Amino acid sequence: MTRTIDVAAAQGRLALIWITGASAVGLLLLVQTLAGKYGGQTERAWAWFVPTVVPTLTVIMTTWFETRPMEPPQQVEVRAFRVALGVSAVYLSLVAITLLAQPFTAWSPIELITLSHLWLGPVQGLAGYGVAKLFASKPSE
Amino acid sequence: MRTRIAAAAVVSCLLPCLVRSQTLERLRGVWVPTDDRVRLRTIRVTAAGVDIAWDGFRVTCAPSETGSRVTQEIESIVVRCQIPGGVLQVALMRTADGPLVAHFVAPDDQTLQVGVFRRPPTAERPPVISLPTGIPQFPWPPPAWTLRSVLPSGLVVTREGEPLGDVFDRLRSAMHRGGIHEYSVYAVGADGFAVVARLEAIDDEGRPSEDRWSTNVSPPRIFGIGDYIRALFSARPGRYRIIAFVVTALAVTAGPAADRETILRLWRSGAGDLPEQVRVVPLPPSGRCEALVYEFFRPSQDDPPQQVRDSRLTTPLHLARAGLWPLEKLMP
Repeated sequence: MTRTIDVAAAQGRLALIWITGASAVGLLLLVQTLAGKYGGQTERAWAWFVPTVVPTLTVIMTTWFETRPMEPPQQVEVRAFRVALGVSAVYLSLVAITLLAQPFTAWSPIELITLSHLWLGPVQGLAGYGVAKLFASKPSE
Repeated sequence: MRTRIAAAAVVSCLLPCLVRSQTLERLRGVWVPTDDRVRLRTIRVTAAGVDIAWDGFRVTCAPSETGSRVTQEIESIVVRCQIPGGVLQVALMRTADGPLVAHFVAPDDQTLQVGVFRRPPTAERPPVISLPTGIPQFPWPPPAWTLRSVLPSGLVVTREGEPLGDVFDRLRSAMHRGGIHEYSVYAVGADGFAVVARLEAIDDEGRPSEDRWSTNVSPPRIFGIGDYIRALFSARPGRYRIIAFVVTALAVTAGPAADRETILRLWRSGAGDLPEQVRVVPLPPSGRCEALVYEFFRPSQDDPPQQVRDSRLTTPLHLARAGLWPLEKLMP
């Protein structure tokens, strides 16, 4: 028998992960910006951050605030929810690590965030798919 | 028709031009006035023409087309010099191995004045230097600097007429004292030279950084959470310096601004030493050594270095903290 979870509950937990993670990374970037970490290259740092988290966050927020509660409540497989949650957590951790690990590397901040597309790109695709399955899928008949 | 006109022009110039070049060859060298009250300070005759120092200006004069005479006993030439305020006409005349007599009429004082000139005491007739001398010419005017200072007399230049080689040796000793063993040497005209030291990383006070010769910012050393927090939030700026020394009698005026790459090319493109034929050339009168400091700064590791226009340091501080001379010797 397949275990299921309420879609609204799953969306809530995933939204919490994304909003918390994106806010933390955004706050870190903001403090770095105010401290002058990026010198004259601040725009490049934010140009990296915005497409990294904003598209997925937009999907989450739009669906969460604009969708009415469904009657009867829809269910989703727990396994699908866990995969989406796990990939999202890994992705947001990689985004944070990209900034947090920079002092230990030989790369400059901008060099490192430019390079980060190598490891963030594939995971972002998977995380986006998982989020879309939970937030943008039509209720089953 | 055009060919005929050109041929006529060549033929018409042939004799006067030949006489003019013979006269310049016989008068060749540096001449200084025997009387310090003469406004015409220095006359330098080269194969290319005549340069004079007038009221602090150094100007190049155009020889007159037909004003040159050369005989067994006497040689003379007339030149026109464009000085501030008008044209200065100078007639130079010399008999056998005697002094050089200059008659001149200044535009602001329409009276004929006479000056007697001799060669500097220690300056023998300079050897013929065929340029290029094997070393490239320093770009003139030099790229705009951050700071500039004429070094006090006695530090690098001790007297007029001393061989450029002696001046160069003093500069080289100072650079070695400061740990600078890599530099490029350039010629400045036929009787001067320039030395461009290697780019070095410095701190905000002008002292060499730990990683003095690296242009890359090295990763911060993290020994604790405090170091990490500092490295996470603060930029890693870089400050760099190139010192150029110019030994010349010419007026050193700033040319166009240069980026770091241009200045780096200067360090890489010159000769490693001063050739012997330039070493024996006597320092012309009013020859001096000027230090040009090119300071660059980048606010973060990712920013390109930009030339500092308004340094908080001074040239003597830069030179002293580079270890070249003690500060007290650099203060006039």
